[in-house]
Amino acid sequence: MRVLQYIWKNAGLKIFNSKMAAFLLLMLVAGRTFVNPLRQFSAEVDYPVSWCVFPFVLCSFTYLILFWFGVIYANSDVPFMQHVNMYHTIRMGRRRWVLGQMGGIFFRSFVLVMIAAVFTILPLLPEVEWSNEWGKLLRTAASTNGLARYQSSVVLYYDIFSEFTPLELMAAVLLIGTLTAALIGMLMFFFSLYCNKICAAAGGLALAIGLFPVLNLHPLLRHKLAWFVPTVWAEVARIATPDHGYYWLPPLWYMISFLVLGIGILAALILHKVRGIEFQWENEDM
Amino acid sequence: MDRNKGDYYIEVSHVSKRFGNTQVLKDVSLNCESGKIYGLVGHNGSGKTVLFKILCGFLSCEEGTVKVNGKVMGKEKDMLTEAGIIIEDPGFLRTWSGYHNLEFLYTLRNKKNKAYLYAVMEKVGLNPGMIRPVEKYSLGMRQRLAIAQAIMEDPGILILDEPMNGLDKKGVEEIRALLLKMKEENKLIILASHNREDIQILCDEVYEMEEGRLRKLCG
Repeated sequence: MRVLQYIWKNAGLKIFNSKMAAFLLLMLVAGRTFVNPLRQFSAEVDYPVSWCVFPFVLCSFTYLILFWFGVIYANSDVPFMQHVNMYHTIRMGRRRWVLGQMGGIFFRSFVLVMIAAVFTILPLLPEVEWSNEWGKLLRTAASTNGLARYQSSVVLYYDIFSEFTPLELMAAVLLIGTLTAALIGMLMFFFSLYCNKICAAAGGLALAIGLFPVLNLHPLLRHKLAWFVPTVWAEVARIATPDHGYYWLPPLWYMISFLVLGIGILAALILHKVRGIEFQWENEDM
Repeated sequence: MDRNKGDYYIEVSHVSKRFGNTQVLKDVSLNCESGKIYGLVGHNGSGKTVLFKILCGFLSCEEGTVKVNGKVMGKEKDMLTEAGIIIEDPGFLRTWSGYHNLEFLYTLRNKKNKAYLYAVMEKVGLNPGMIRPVEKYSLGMRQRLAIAQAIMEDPGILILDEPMNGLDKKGVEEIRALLLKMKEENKLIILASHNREDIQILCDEVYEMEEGRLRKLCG
């Protein structure tokens, strides 16, 4: 019970801080920019647009890389050895302290994904269609090049409409996004404990930059590499669309298993390390 | 030696610590028990803070052992959770008020009592109603808040590294009186200070740390 309370309180500290404010601002601007063509299209044809556009916005390479860089920045407070944590550790003990940090990473990951999702809905607000149907506008935009004249970099994948409802797709994206962001956070925490903060940032960046080779490789190789680069799985909206005859994203069950297993292994290694680590407190603000 | 329930005793035996090529602590031994104040003097960099961090469980020692009530730190006990501490800079959330910082830390041990926290803040000379964020506190006020943080859970052990830092004359006298009262309440207090007067007035036993070696001066 005490651990759960600490996780909750610690999550609050990890969510309400200046780094998260910067992330919020970044997503506000990015969300507005990437969704604007859809908003214009909706206004012009005078037809409401589905609230579920976030999964498609995530398929835009620039947006996705911005999002992951933001996640890495928000997690750059590792290894959580600011002086204020000294007062936490002496009260909680090592085990509870580290469980609090890991729980906080998980909650923060969910909030990061939620912030990004909400900021793709807000710019559309007056024209949003609140139903579990994809609606005429998205279907028209996906089957024609109606968005092209608004310089949209968001591609709508028609095949997904028959596989998922908006609610299902949004739930899948939130789950995969949260687990991947948590994996990045845990990986950064792991590197910061076993190596240092620079290695942590490099590890997080390596995972994010892993997108480049996957998306730029020939489709014959892409579908193989995509099984090992979780940051690309945020493009769940493409899962039903073949590319050169290949469904290059791995199935959902594989993504979830890989992420849960990865987080579990990192958590075990972090718990092991913290049992004997020397705490070197630093003056960085939380 | 007769020991009652609630008494604490710390046994530091032949502790050595090294950072890279620098030997910071050399064969340090020290025994402390409840109801006394132990003073530690020494130059900057002599190893006082490192010893404090080892006592708390933040650092481990390469040689020797630290036992608290017979439990070996690092093996049977990972952190000195029954201690109130001030080590290095007071670590508070800068944009929060003093009261909210204390409240947050107080609730980590499942405790909640606004009136009590107000009383603790008043005890160390702070106005609990002040909404000013900690980043706008003077050095002395921050130090008072650190003292409040250390004593608010009524810990059995106090480890205080330069607790009078930045305090004015009145503040020093108030904190001295507070520490003497806590000694009367059977607390085990270990105090590092550069101020000889503090050491003379407060401490039952005084030790000097010099180039990593500890020697008893008096008591």
